[in-house]
Amino acid sequence: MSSRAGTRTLVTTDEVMGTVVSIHVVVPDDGGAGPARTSAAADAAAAPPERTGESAAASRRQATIEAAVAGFLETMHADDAMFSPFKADSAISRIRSGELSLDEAPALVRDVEAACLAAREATGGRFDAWWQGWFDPTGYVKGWSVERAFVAHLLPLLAGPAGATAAPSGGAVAGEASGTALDTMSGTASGAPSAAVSGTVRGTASGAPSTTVSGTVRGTASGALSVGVSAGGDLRVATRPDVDRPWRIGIADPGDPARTLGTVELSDGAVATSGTAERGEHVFDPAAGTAATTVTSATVVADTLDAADLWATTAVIAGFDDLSWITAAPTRSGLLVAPDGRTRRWAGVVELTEV
Amino acid sequence: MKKQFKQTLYVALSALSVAVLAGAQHAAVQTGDPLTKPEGAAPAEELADGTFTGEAAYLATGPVQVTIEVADGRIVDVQATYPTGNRHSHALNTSAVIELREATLASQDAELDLVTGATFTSLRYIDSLQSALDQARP
Repeated sequence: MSSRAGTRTLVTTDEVMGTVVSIHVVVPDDGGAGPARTSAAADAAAAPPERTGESAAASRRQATIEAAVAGFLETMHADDAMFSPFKADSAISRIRSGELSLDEAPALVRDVEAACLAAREATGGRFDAWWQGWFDPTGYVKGWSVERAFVAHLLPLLAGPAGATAAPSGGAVAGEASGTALDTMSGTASGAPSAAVSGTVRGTASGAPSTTVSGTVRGTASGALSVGVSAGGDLRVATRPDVDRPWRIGIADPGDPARTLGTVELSDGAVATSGTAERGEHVFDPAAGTAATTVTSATVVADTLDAADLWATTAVIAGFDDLSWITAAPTRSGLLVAPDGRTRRWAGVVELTEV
Repeated sequence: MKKQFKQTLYVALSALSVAVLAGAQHAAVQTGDPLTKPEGAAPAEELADGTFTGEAAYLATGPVQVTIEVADGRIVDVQATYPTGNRHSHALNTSAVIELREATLASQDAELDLVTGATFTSLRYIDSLQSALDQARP
């Protein structure tokens, strides 16, 4: 994908849960080594034997990234097999047919059931996995699956050297100063921030032998600076704490997918967009029993993708005129677009008004 | 972008037309934002004049390769070669190429990493476009 100064991005694409998922791993442009090269002298000092070691290390780093990406996709495919209402042998289909009771269902199904119950409560019934009369968590599962696969397989790529910086946990990522609000959405370009990797980047010493790849040192072998996932336009990103490279995220214009309404910068967190723009009127209002139509698209930034996705869906169901729910929702910021092009934005629990 | 990573793509043939078209749409936002860029604004990175062909990107049905032509630092033409020998892919390529051309010509620089709200994003031939752009950057 985009190639910013000093970095390159490895992209893997797959199709799962009825949409395209892409995994983006940002590595230094020197072949994936952990530390950014800080001086020409260091390069000059590298003797041929060390270069051989460097090449082997690069292979290990690449293998580590490939294994993590494969693990991420395996998790999502496994979740799809368990939760898809379109597969007759999925747990969800068997529960609906009466073949399987929830009590006997796999633990993951119980986890999702509990999450959906909590979501129904938190959203005041706007999100209801039972509104059709049976348990259909489809609207929740994609975000949930991406989130758990991301935390399990991709966040470890960002772990620092053993004993150093720990990877941020999925649910406890602190709001970054940049991009916490959709307040960069003005008519002017904010200017491309420098993508230069900080000179203080810490990573695996390129010549250091690291033959053991275990869970505890796995991150040290990846060299990754940042990771991002797009699952059908819902996004989850994370960046090493010592790397200043926020993801530049465009928000698609629901009226013209070839354009963007604005951008948001995000180092750690999730962005989800729900609405009628891409796949027709597919969000239903449980209370009304009809499609929600007053929000063409709702974009929500939150710490985790299950939350961002849930509240983006809730925003569509609540409708353009109702932002009352933001005071109780754990969102960082968001944007609503009405069919006539009007927009509403909020940051935290406060609606932003145009100055 | 150097293709140094084994990439996997499993796009069902039935979904390919949508995927390729959406990829073209994504190219527009990937290469710039017409709403937030004043008309005539200088590209963030000057492109060298000439013709640049991106590395082939591989769909399930065959290679996709993007060629750009740059004059006076701006992209003036975009061509893409698509899989042939498959009646589905051949039929869908015409509109996909048109969309890719329009999208790329309408906006010139790579600004965004990801786009939210676009169902299909980041498909392979965007990488080919990107590598063509990379070659045009001195």
